[in-house]
This record gives sequence, structure tokens and C-alpha cells, in this order.
Amino acid sequence: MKQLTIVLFSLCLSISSFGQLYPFYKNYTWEKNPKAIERPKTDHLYYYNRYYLVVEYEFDYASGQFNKIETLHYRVKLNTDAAIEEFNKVYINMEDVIKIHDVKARIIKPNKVTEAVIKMEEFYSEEDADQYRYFAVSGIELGDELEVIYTLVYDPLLNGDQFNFQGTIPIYNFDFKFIVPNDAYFKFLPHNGLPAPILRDTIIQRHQYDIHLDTIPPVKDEYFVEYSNISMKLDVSLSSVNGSLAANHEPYLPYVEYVNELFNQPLGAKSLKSVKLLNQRLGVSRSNSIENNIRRIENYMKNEFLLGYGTTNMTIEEMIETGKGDGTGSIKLILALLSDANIKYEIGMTSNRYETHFSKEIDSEFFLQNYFIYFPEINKYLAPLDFNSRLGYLNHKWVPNNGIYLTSKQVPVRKTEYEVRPIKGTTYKENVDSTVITINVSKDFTNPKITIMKYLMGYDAGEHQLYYKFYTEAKRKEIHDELLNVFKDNSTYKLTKIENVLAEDAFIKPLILTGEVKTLYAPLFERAGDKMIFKLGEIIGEYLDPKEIAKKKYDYVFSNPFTRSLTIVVNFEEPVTISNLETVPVFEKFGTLETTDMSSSVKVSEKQFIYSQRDIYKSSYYPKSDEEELMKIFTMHSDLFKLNLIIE
Amino acid sequence: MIKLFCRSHVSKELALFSLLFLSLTPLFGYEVTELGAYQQKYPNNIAVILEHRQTVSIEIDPKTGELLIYETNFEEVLYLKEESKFYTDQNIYLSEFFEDLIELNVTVYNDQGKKNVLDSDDFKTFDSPPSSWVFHDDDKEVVFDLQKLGAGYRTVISYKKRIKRPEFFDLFHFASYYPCELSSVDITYPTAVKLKFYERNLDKSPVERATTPLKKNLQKSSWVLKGLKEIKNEDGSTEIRNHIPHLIAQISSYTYNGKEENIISTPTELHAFFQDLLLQKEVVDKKKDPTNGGMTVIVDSITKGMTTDLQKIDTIFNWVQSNIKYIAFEDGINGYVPRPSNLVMTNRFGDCKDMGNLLVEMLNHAGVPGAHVAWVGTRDIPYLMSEIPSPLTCNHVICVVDRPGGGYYYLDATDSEGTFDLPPSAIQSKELLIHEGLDKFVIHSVPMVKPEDNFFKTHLKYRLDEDDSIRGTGIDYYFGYERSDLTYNLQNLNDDDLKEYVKDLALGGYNRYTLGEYSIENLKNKSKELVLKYDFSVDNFLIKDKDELIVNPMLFKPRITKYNLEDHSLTRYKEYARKVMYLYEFEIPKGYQIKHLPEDVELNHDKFNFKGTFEVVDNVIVVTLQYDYHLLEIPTDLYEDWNEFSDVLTSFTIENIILQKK
Repeated sequence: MKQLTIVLFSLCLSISSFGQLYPFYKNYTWEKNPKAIERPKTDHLYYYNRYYLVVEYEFDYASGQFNKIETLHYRVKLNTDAAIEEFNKVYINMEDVIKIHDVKARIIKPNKVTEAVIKMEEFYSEEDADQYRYFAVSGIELGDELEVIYTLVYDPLLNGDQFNFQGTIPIYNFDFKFIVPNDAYFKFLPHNGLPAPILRDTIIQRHQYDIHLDTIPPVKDEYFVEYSNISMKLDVSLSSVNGSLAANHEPYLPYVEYVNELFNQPLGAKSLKSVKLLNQRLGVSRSNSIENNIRRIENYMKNEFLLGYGTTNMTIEEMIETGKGDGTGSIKLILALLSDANIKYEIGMTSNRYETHFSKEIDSEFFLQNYFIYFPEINKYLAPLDFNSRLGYLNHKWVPNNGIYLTSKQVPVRKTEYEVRPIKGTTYKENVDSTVITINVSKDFTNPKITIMKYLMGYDAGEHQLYYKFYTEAKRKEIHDELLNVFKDNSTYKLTKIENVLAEDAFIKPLILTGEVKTLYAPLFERAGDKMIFKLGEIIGEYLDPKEIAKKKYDYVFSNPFTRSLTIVVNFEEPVTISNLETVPVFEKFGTLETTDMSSSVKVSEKQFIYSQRDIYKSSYYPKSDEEELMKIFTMHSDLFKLNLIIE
Repeated sequence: MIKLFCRSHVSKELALFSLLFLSLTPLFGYEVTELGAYQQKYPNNIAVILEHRQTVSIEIDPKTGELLIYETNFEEVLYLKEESKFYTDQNIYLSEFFEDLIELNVTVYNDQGKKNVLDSDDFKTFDSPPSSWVFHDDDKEVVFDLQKLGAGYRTVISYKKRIKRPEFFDLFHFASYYPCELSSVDITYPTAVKLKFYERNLDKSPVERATTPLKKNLQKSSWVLKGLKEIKNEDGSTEIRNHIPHLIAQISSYTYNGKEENIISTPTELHAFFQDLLLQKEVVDKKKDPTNGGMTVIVDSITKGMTTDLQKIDTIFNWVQSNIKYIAFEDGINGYVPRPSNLVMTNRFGDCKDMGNLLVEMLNHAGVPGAHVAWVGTRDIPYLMSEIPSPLTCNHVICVVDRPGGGYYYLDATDSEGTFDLPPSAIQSKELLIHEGLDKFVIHSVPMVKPEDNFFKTHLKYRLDEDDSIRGTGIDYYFGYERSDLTYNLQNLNDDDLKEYVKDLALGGYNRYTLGEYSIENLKNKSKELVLKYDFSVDNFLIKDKDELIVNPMLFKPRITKYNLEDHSLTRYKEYARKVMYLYEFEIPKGYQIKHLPEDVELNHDKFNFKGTFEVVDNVIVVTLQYDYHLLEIPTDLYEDWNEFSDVLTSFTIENIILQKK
């Protein structure tokens, strides 16, 4: 990093005498006499007539570092009331922003241009937990264009940055410029049809990379998709700092050195003693399995210790004594406990795959979002700072993915090395949702007594087990009702038993609920003269409409592999005949996909009817090439939903 | 016994206050050994409030004659569970316009009784985040961290604030989201100050009330409640203040130097207070701005050639609804004084009072008589102005216009889709304080809108298409609130999203149908029914049984949610009364005849009705299903009848027709 700073700094000095059009943000402005831009009528609520983003790196003498300076200029055409309501307050996200410069806005009408008076206010959004600055724009009317320019100054992100350009709104006349000192070369990874930036040498002492597109079409969200991974975006990171195109800069190195400095240092005698005593108290010992010891340590860190509550630079013994530590301190402590227990580990980081995949094609610090610890002896992962997960279950939004794995050595010198490798996700056997509904029917088929048993394992169980002890009585009831609500309507339920609700049970034991229906919202039986119609399909439940799924354009991405089963037991008081039993599909295997496994079975006796159905999705990714088989599954489910049995 | 004392950070006066405070409250500690008893008593609670004491001192400044009101909030909490360690972040909300925080003391006792007094550096004041993307105010938040909590920990938080606006004095809650052992309100005031007290829901637990004369012409009114359960919200219930004990104390007047100064105790004084704020608005200088921000030009152009007041009202109201967007900047006095109409016109945005005031000025300019600004409390506020004439009962402003023959048109432009024929749904059954001119006002009771004015009707015609599928047409009619709930979305979606939205509306969002062509009528004409016409088809509609077809003709089966006391212990809230009518016409397929036609069903109640009929007319099975309810709340003692209403409706919808091959 030091090397990079010196090179860029010297570059900056060498060009400071050229007082031409750069820095861009100080010289760029909007046109003097803009004319309203008219396009053919559209059904879009609004669209961008111009979208111009310029990112430049400039040396800041005051702070002694390079700053990343983003200038955004856009013109947006407002076609609806909803659009006016969205843009009559212009919000600027201030996350990581050091300074904001030159905010200007004006309204362009066919016959008039009015510059807005900018009165900045602050706003914290609870929704997305971000700080904003905003200003209201006076005088906007339907059909107006709003033009806005502002510049934001950030800390540098030379080792990894990402720019998203495509959303649900069309953009016309799009330009992106990336301007850096001319001895610096960057690597770019464009996604989803975005062209690669072109390096232009038209500016003295600057490398300018450009993308221009006449149009960026909107991309619509759809079922089973990671939206940010289907839209046009650009990964950027520094590849060379010595004026050569050959890559000589490793973007991950600064981070690896930082980790080495932070987590690969010897502990003092006091700290070691405290750690040993704590492990003793936790029952960590050689007689336990490795997994058992890891769980003991993790349970302490996440159930007893206050992760993220402490102050910076607390010593290990201070953290143990006060029972709290900040993020970095908490990782130091957990690593110290693992080392003391002689457990081998690799620390690493990965991305939230719903925001961005961790690509192997470009090295970028942008992907380094979440810490994990990998245990090679048991081939399992743990997220040290994520309270919502436990050993074996990294947050499902992170995996499967790639990650950076770090291995530290103590001799001959303390050194940390890295490697980018895949991180596996969980399997269908580890995520189970199994429901048994028992319906006891009276002679006249009114007011059936219905009991429900729900067995959940994995993510669906863990999210409740971890928090159950924190829930108020009312919240617990809400959760019981939510989990027992097998009919997905306004029926009411009474919990009779719940098992494995301790945080220590999470992601190890199944969450089991037993309950009964208090009031049924939609009847299960209908009348047809002297026959009864059993609405079996409605109990099996609604599935996605195949016609809706058919509109999908991208690969299928599920949150995680899973097994789901449903058993419906109907006990009749008197012998009955089901006259259209042949309409119930029976199969042990459905379709040809290796990564799915579906079954459907029925068993009938004089006074009992049992239907069982099971779905297994062994993967969380299904390419478009699997679509035909997946559609068969969706259609099969759609047919199940229509099942009505005639009881005589 | 653990002893406590308060620490003063601020001034001599406050130090004195603290001493007084101590001398009045010698005992509020607890034995550490009592922890077990409280844990047993409250096994499901993280904490118990041992004491919540709200102490008010009202004085008359002898020099200025100004009222000095100090409110001290004292709360001692015992934590019962280890999980409390995750709840160390605390905050106190304040509005600078109404109050100044002048003292804050926080002490944490650990499970061994060792105390930790937070330092002034531990308190940080922030602008409180606005409650939404369109509503911005000047509220502040004092944030602090209790540092460590756990079972057996105890906190004592006490803060004192000066109430700057006696008109808004004040509302006191007794209960909390933790159970509370002892909750009290003490108000000490000179005999020269007249107060009115309004108790709400204090009849559910024993209350010790007293008014005691003190020395120096002072008196103290106090309320003590013990053993209060924690507050439990219920989704879909009426506002929680309808159910929890609280007290509203109002300063009516006070005497200073022999002269009586009125604050607010009557509707007349409440009106005078609001009128004063209304008159504080900046007057537009007609010389500098002859068109009033373009207002007069707009009014003249949009009402040109109109001959009736109703046309002008409709046109002007529509213009404001469409062109003035709702953004509320409620900082300080701006929360109460409307902005001048020329500024609202230029901005093209405003809050409720800005819009209400603008509408009055536009209507006046258009020559429409009887346009007035009116203040109102929405249904979130469980008091009427006539019973508690206080600004605390108001939170909204609209414009009303005298309706020929009596009553009013209601112009609330904060709702871009509402009609002036109906009051905004949130003020039904509330009272409007209507400003009819200088020192003139009327209190108008807003009626509940009748179900007949607020309906959804659907008429579906369909026939067997092939095999077991049907094909048909539908016409849906929406009126009143049913209409205004939809029209914004129908006008603000792109084509794809609009089709999805329409698909969710038609056939009640029936799960498996295909929406064909559709059209929408009267989207902008708010006085007419919104009409949605569409073609549809449904697969697998019939059940085949040998030579019979079994069909439930009700494509969409409405349901009424049932209530039980265990899950719904509080009165249920209904946004509005409504009437729903379904008409299904199913053509009997060729070669079939009716084998079984179910019976008609009817239920009549003074609050709700249901009627369902089956008949055959010219080879068409005609099914009608209609219900209405005319209530805004469902009290618990109505559940039994309401559930019967639900059952009767459901029993009708499960009846199938049997058709047999001829």
C-alpha cells in the first residue's frame, strides 16, 4: 500500500502544473441553455434522459491520501405522480462520504428552466440503516425533467470497487468515466452485457477509461434470482502502479497484511492464562471432539459474550473480564480460544452473494464483506461475527460462493498467505421442513379437529431457536402462529408443545412444534348434495403459477438446498368411499433431474386417508437449461393444488 | 437495603429539586434477595418496573407571570433475565418546540448492588430520525448506553424537563411494556392554577387518588396504581390508548396579579388557540406577488366557464390533489402555522395545514362561499374535542365547504385519491373544529360513511369452455373508500405491473386464472364508480363424477375473519363500513340439467347482514352473495354474533351445484 501511495503521490506532483480541465469535478458543469428532451411515449413512471457518472482519483494534500471523487449528473423525466413524489426530495446516500460538493438541481420545462434553491437536510433511514442528505425541489410538475449534479468525496477504494448501472428504470445517453493518474492501470470486470471500459489517452497525465451506451434497458426483478447479479455492473481494481500494463499489484495483499498484523501476533502471558481459564470454564478439553469444542467456544461467544458491544483495542483479558468486545477484538478472542484448544483453522472473508458474487476473475476488496472461519479437520465453517448463524451453517446469503482463505505461519516469520477457493453451502439433508396434518372428521363433516406437527431443521429452525429466549410472550405467540399456519390464511392456532428452543439447539437439533387449529378460516370440506368434497389441494397449498415462472429469463437461484415434506392424515368417524381417488398422482420419482427428487403417495383404508408428498432440491442453483424439467415440477404442484376428492 | 441518590448536573435550582425529590422519596430500593420472588412472579418478562413516578411542579413566575412547568420522570427497573444484557441501549425522545431537557440522571446497580452513575459525557443528543420519507420534524433523541445489564441489575433513570407550552400539558401513562409494581403521577400546583383531569381506563385496576392542600397556597393531586400488567399490542386492534390507563391533565387558567389568564379548557379557547396560529401565517404581499404564487392564474384558468360552485370545488380540489404533493416539514412552529399559499404554490408541495389553507384561498378566489379550515384528530386519537378541548386531540387539518342543505364537503388533499363527498376514512366518527371566521367556529361530528356509499360489486358471467375449464367476463365496481384505495396504483404503474395489479384485483386475486383483455373506466372521475372490465379463464374448474358435474359457482369465496378472546382481547378496528355484492352467472352446459341446487341463506343483524341465493333463470345458474357491515369497531362482546356472521357466509360458499347429463 505504501508503495502505491508513493507512486501515485509522485505522479500527482508531476502533473499538478497542468492546469487544464482536470480535476473533472471542478471543471464540469451542466449546459447553459438546456432544452427539454422529448422521447416517444412510454409507460415507464420515469426514465433518465442522461446519466453520467465520473469517478476520479485525486491526491488530497490535506489528508495526505488519494480520494475517490464521484460526480453524478443526471436528467430524469417524470411521467407520473409517483415519479414526482420520488424526486421532489432528492436523497443522497452519505455512507462512507467524506465531503459533498456543488449540489445543483434545476427543473426543465418545455418553456422554462428553473434552478432549485438547495437547502440540505439530514435523514436517517431506518429501512436501510443509511444516513442521507436531502433537499426538497420546489415547483415540479408532471412531465418535467429534473436535472441534478453533485460530487461526493470518498476514501479511496483502489483495491476493489463496484458500480451498478442497471435498474428497473431505463437510462438513455449513459456515460461512465474512470479517471486516474497515467501510471496506474486498472483491471475491469464488466457483467451482464456491459461493455468493457476503453482506455483513452486523450488527456495528458491521466488514464481515462470510458463506457458509453445510448441506452441501458430496464431489467425486471423476477422469481428465484439474485437481482444484483443479473444487472449491468462493473468490478474495478488496481492492477499496476509502475506504468506498466503487466499486473504487478495484488489488491488482496494490503488486506492480508492487515490480517497478519491483527490476528497473527503472539499473546502475552496474561492473555494466554485468561484464555486457558476461559476454555476450562467452557469445558473445552481434549476428551471432546473437535466439533464439540468449537461449539462450546461459539456458544460462549454468541450466547454469553456481547459481540460488537465493546470498545476498540481491548486486551484479551479485558474482553474476558467484561464479557464484551468490538468486532476485531471478538475475532481475536475466538481465534485465541481455538488456538488454545489446538483446533486448526483458516480465517477468511466472503461476499453476500445476493449483493455480489465473489469472483475469481478479478481480485477485489469489494468482495471482502463477511468474516468466516474454516475448520479443515471437520470441513465446516463458522461466521465469528454473525449472531444469526452457527457452525456448519454460514448465512445462506453468503454461500455457495468463493472466499479468500488465509493461513498464518508463525515461523520463521509471522506471515499470512491467501488463496481464493470455493465455500460450500449446506445440503438438502441439513434443511428440512416436514409437516404432518391430522384431521379428525365428525359424521357430518363440520368442525373437524385438526392437529399439526411441524419439524424444522436448519435455517428455518435456527432463525427462531437463536432468538426464542429473547421473544416476549406476544412475539412467541406470533412465531408459533406463523409456523403452525399451514393453511396460509387467517385460521387461528394453539400451540400444545414446542421442543428445542434453546440457542444451543440452533442448527443442531430440530425445532418441533405441535399444535391444533382453533378456528379454521377456509373450510376443508364442501357440500354437493349428499356428497362431500375434500379440498385436498388447498391443504397441500398454493405453489407458484407455472405461467408466472415461464416468464423467467435468468437462472434459478434458491436460498439453499432443502427437503420439504407434507403428510395429511384424515380420520373419518365412519367408513367412507373416495370415488375419484385415481385423480391423486402417485410417483416415487418425478422428472429426470439428478438434483431434484419428488414423491407423492396415497394410502386409503375404510376410515382413513393418508397422503404424503415430498420435494427435495439438492442444489440452490438451477441453470436455464434445467428449466423444462423444473417447469414439469411446477406444473405437477399446480395440479396438486387443484385436487378435490369426492367422498361418498 | 440499597440506598439511592440523585445527582444533579445542571444548576442550583436543580440541586434543590433533587434534594426535595429525595426527601419525598425515601424508600424505593429493593432487597437483592427479592430478585427470586420477582422472577417467580414475572417468569416471562425480562424486567419489572419497580416504580414509575411522574412528578410535576407548576409555578407562576412572580416576576413575569409566566407558568413554569417542570416534569420529572423517574423509573426504577429491575432486570430479571440475563438476556437483558442485550438491551443496554436507551433513548429519550424530546421535541425542542415543546420542552427542554434540563436534567438527566442514570444509575445502574449491578447484581451485587454496586452502582455505576453515568457521566454527562455518556449522553449524546441526536436529531431524531424522521418517521418517514415524507415527514420531517425537529425531534431530538438523547441516547445512552447502560453499559451492562443482567439478571439482578437495577437501573434508575430520572429526567427532568421544562414544559414550554402549557397549552399542550399533558398526557401521563401509567403502564409500560414491562409489568409495573407501582406507578404514580403527582402534580403540585398553586391554588391559583386551575387544572382539569381526564382519566382514561383507570377503572380496570384500583387507583388511589388524592388532592391534598399543601403550604404556601399549593396543592397536590396524585394518582397511584399498583400491579399493572405489561402493555400488549394486538395487530388489528383499536389504538392502544383505548385500552391502557392514562391521565390527561389540562391547565385551564391561572390567576396572576388578580387577573385570570385562560389557557385552554373549552372548545372556544381551543379554537382561539388554533386561530392564533392560523393568523400567524405570513400574509402574501399582493403588490409584490399579485398572482399569489400563480394561484389566481391557475384558479381562473381551471374554473373558467364554470357556473356552479360544485364544479369549482371539484376542479380546484382535483388540481390541488394532483399538483401539490405531500411533504411535511414540521420543525418548530412550522408544525402549527400554515405556510403562505404563494409559497405552497411555488413549492408544489406542502403538509396538511398548507394544503387546507391553500384550498380555502383558492375557493375564496373562485367565489365559492363557505370554505373553511378545520382541525381534527384522526381515529388514532381516542378523544373527542368536545370532551377534551385540547390540542392533544388534534393532529390533522383539512378544508371543508358548506354543503347546501346542511353538512360539509370534506377536502383533504393529502389523500390524492379521495373524494370531497366523503370524509377521509381516518376521521369518521371524530369531530372537526371548523374555523368559520374570526372567533367563530363550529364543532361538527363527522359521520361514519354508510356501507352503501362504500361498496364493491362484481358481476361475473361464465360458461364451460372445454373439458373442465371455464371462460367468462367480469365487471367490478368500486365506490367510496373501496375506489380510492386502488386508483393511485392504477395510475402509477407501468404496463406490466399494472396487469399484475389488475390480476390481483379481479376475481379477488383467485389463484389460478388467466386474465385476458381488461379495461378501466372512470379512473379520474372520483364521483363515479371505478369500473374494471375483464375477460378471464380458469382451468380445472369442475369436478367430474361419472355423469355428473360438480361445480362451486363462487369463483372467489369471500371470508370474514373470526375472533376469539384469547387472540383478540382488544376491540377490533375496521377502517370503514362496507357493502360487498357478488353476482355469478353460470351457463348450464349443453346436455346437462340441474340435479342439485343448494338452499338460500340469510342472516340479519343490526350491525351486519348476509344474503346468498341460488336460482336458475333461462338456463343460467344465478348466484348472488352480498354482505355488509356498518361499524368501525368490533367490541369483544360482539364476537359471538360476528363469528356467526362469518359462519353463515362460509356455509353458503361451500355449497356446490350438481349437474347431471340429460
